[in-house]
Amino acid sequence: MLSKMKKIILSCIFLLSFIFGKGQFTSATLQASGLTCALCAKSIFTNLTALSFVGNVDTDLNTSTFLISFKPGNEVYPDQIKKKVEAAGFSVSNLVLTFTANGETASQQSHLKIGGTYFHIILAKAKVLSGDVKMQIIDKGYVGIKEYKKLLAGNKLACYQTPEIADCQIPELNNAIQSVHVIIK
Amino acid sequence: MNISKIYIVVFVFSIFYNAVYAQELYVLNDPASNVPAKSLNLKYAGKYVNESFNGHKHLGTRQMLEAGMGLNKSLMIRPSLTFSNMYKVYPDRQLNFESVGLYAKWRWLSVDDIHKHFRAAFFLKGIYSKNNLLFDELTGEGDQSAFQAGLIFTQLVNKLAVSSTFTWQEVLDGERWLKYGGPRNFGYRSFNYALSTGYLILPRKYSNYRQTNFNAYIEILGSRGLDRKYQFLDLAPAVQLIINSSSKLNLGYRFQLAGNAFRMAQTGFNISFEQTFLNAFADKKND
Repeated sequence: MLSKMKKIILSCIFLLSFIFGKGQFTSATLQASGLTCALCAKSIFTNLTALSFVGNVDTDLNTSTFLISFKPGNEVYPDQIKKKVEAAGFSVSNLVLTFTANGETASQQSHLKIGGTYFHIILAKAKVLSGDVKMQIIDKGYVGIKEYKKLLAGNKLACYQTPEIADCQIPELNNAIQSVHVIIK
Repeated sequence: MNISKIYIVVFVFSIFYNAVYAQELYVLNDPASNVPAKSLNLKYAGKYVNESFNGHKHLGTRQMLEAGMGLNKSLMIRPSLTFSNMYKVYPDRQLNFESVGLYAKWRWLSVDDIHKHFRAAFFLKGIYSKNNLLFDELTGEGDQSAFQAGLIFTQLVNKLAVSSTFTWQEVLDGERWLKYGGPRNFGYRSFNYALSTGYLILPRKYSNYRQTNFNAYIEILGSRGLDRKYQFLDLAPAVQLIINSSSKLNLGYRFQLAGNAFRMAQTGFNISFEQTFLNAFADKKND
């Protein structure tokens, strides 16, 4: 009986989580890997600033870290950020997005739609998001190879184990442009 | 001095000497990394040697233009054009069209980590040259009409970068297929190899993109004739200024450490200038 109640509550939270929030992504911290030279960092910098939703990019050359601020009111596409780093010839080893939340509810197994992207927030328990929430994308290509292997071993969700959106088995996701898995930092 | 001994000594030397910072924007060899996708790298290079042939000594020069283009993250092509006054019959010193070439490189392996990578690339190069065969030394620079295929492995670990290049070269000169009997005067097949290493001297700490970077390089280049017995090993130190994270000015000297090859010159200077145009071919929309 109790487990049935729990299921119903979770389902409710799950459904609620599809209600669009009004929060938005304001900035991101990206660490790139595979480079030490300033010329190499410049190619990443140039590619990132070419993205329509990117406003300003500050670089810390000594740590290959890029502080990206997004243009307000624009949808943010994490896969385009990743592709731009790869086109420059390098990889993303860490991408943390800052989401200014507005009461969005995140639960276990919830996919929060923000802009054109579904964010699967991996959480221990349901949570109402407020203020600035830092979300690290933990899918393949968004973290270092070693870290990804550790994350894979620690997260047995079928949805996370394969890059196929279909494996999430959530009808709403079938038409999704992209879905990423995030952890809240 | 035995060539293999020199090879080992310089290899060990290069590893220990690079413990601080290293760069792989080599002057004479390519790293396994590519020109960024949709970007253009224009290079002018001038090579100057004291040419000594048939008793005449004079300054031989080759002027080279290259346009490296990143097609995508793992594939780049680079057409090249050279003019030279080498291989001329004395006293002709005219600088004329010498060769055209097309180089293509595919980076097939890339394992990245913070300030670290291991990359492997495969390349092909075809060269059409006007020159007649005169020397043992076979290059991909325009000396002979030739075809090259090779592998490059570049390792960057804790700011130490070492790159090795292995090239198989076939000379495609018409003379190769002439049937006139008797011994051949020239070799048509060689194995060229190189070990390149470099380090960033300035700045010690980065502050912005406009800072001028100063790099020093040591490259070891060797060649071994596969159908004609000769070999040589060269050492090529070079310095490089990178201005505004987009232009490179390279100055290098190359000299023979050991060898028994009949070459145009055993020493030479090279100067080159490169300009990178990031995103030169990118459409302005998101893609």
